[in-house]
Amino acid sequence: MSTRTNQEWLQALKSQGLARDAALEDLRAILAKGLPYALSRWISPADPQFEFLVEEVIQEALLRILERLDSFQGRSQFTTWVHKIAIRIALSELRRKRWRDSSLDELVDNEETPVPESLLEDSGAGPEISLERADMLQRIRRVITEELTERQRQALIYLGVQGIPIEEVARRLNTNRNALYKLLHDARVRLKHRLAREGLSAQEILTAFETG
Amino acid sequence: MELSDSSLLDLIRFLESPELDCERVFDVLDQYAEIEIRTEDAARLLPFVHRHLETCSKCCDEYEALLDVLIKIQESEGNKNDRL
Repeated sequence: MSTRTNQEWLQALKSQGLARDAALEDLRAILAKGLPYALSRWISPADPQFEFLVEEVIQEALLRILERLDSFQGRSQFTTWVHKIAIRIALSELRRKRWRDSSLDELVDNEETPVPESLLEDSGAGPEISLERADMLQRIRRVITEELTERQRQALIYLGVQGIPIEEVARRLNTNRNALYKLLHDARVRLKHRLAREGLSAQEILTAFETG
Repeated sequence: MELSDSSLLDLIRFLESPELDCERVFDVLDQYAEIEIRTEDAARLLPFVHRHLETCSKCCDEYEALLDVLIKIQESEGNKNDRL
């Protein structure tokens, strides 16, 4: 296997023909060498799924690397960047498989009909505190309704309330992970700004409900 | 769908969580790992990554796996060179 500088990797992978094929072959070998070290942290190499998973992740990683060549900024060795991408895919895949196996059906059943639950009752708080909390909750509800798009709200509920992994949320919303992060970032900024205009901060809200 | 009181607070709690910073950290995770491998002070050079890794188990998993891969590859290449 030949060694390449970052520039040579990029050049070869962006070219056509034999140079590209050779670079892809080398990249596959590099991933096949490194990935088992990472995967063996979570799954035994003796597991029948191990080799299949290595191959699956390599395939997906090669595709993603080719798609994202332009985002490589040269701040590390190209091969380190490549391993980073493969590791994320491997972990996402493991989490997704585990998630699907265990709790998806249960969540789908529950998501449209949340159990009504009031934090205003049984807290032992005095009537003044209860009123203050009720007012706060009402204002938060209004802020969420007025500031967020339906899609932002749904994404926040999936992630923040139901705890669904980001890859699964991206799949449900028919988007990708990066676009979802952008959507969440926008939602977070909007909510924080609006809460600040209302004289509220997330920390203050949480503190108000943690005491008494 | 009306959110329950506790769901509302979970949502607010999520706004404060480090989860949304994961992408920013992932962007420089390769750089951070290489700094660490060179035994330079990664925490001082990229403090926001260091802080995030202390609180975000998902990113920490990715980081530790990457470090593991880099170290083991380095070791195996070192062994190969020793044999030559």
